[in-house]
Amino acid sequence: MKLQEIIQLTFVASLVLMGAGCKALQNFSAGQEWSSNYALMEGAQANDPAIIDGDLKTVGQTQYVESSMSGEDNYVRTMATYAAPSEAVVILPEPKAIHRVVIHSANVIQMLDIWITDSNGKWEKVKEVKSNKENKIDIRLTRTIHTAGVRARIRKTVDDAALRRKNVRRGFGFRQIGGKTKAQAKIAEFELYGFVTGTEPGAAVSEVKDDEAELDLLLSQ
Amino acid sequence: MKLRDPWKTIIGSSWLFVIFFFTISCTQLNEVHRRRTLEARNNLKKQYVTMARSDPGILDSSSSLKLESKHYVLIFSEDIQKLKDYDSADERRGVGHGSLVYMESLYNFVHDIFGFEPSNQDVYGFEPNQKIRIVLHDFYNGSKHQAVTQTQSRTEYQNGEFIKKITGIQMDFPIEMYNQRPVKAHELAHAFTNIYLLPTWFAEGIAVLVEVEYAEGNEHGKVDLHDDLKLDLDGVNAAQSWRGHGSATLGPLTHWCYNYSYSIVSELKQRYGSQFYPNFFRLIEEDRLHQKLPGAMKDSFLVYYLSQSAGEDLIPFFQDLKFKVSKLSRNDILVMIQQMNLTITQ
Repeated sequence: MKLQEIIQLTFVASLVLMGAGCKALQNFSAGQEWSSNYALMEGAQANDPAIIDGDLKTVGQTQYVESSMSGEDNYVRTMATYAAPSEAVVILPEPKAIHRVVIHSANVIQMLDIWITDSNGKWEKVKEVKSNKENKIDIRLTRTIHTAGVRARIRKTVDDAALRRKNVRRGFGFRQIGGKTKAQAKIAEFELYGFVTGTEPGAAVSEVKDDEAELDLLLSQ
Repeated sequence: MKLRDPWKTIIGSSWLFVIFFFTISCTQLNEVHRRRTLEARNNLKKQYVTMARSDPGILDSSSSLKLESKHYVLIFSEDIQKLKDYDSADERRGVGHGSLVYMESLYNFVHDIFGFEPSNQDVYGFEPNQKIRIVLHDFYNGSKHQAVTQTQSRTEYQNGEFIKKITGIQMDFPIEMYNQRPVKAHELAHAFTNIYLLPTWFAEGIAVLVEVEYAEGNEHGKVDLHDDLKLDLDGVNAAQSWRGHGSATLGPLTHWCYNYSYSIVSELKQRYGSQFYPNFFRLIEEDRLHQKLPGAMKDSFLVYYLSQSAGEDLIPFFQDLKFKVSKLSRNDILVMIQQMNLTITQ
């Protein structure tokens, strides 16, 4: 009798576990079911609003990180300003679980870092992209990130070399720097996605549909 | 049965308590969450200048040499069309659209700071369909480092007095300057305030205030109003005779003039609060001072209106900084303007 009870209990437990496992698997595979683009939420802000207007035709620019060395030696400050990277920053009206960041750029961004902020405003780097060659960068985050702020720090673009040729002159063993050495990224859209949740009826956009819509938009231009 | 009834009551009441406390805790947790979210957002807003998207309603010409939005006309000058990034209509369209979305958001941003806008006909005498012209250049006036905002006006003689009408506001940017947010904010501040014919030092001080304290630029900084004071040969504060970055005089002192002027403007804002300047402009507007002035505003007029906005006499503050100003009443100002206009008429 006792053995029968144990078997029955094990069977029930297995069923529960299988059910839970299936649900987890379903959630896992729900990577195909993306939420709507959180950057288009009412109240979302960006350091260039053109990157969150939902229109691939409007191209915004990343903004240079201002040097914080205002009291330092003027030469050091100027050099730091010239070498400063640029950033695209998006602030959401409320924290969201972000799993995917998509950046559409007009000039190819070869290297960038993705940072997220915690509730105290501290930034943490969560992803590095190196040697990208596409205008569309689709970044999947390896863990769920609940945040209201995402930024992309641009390390290298395809336009950097031309800018350096223009602003850096070499001769007689000296290097004369007369301007910025890192080009701004030209970003058409900065998109943030999570997975569809039960509280988002009708917000689900499958990845395939999402890509098709983008393709339609590009073809219609 | 008699024994079980009290237990039922106790258990029932306990459940009610549990549900009640659960509800209260949920509400409190929600409130804490809401407050934390707000705090986090404010922290982020302190770190970055971010803006909400606007509805620009952009109209585009076929060559994309001229684009229009709600408040602006964006024009690509001839020399910029020779640059690699602007030599095709597609490139200009992409940059132009994005730029106008940005500028429309910046317009709302500066509007929130001052409380008035150029498209308000009562304030400006700016015709309803007129827009701010933004002209992008490779070089402007032979330079890649000088952005200029000019306001054109026409003076009409009506009912025995001169009245100004704004016929255009134009912002000229070398593209290198246009790509810098603080510079755009600085020039847009001029586009908003030029109509008031403010003394140069004050107009630049206000523009640098917007550039540094709202758009978080770091080109300029504060100086000590007493320790860093510089006098001209008449013993008057050197900022008072400054005629702007284009003037030949005070060339070496230009950077100091920007910083010193900004320091005064910022000091007053710190003392009298964020509504100090919106009130100041409202007071000028009420008297229509800018429409009657035949030329740039005298510093004594300016100090009168600043004092009105502050609610206390600021003459001692400015005299302490070696400004040559005198105490005037509103009537004195109006009589002086009438006399100036009479002289011009004669």
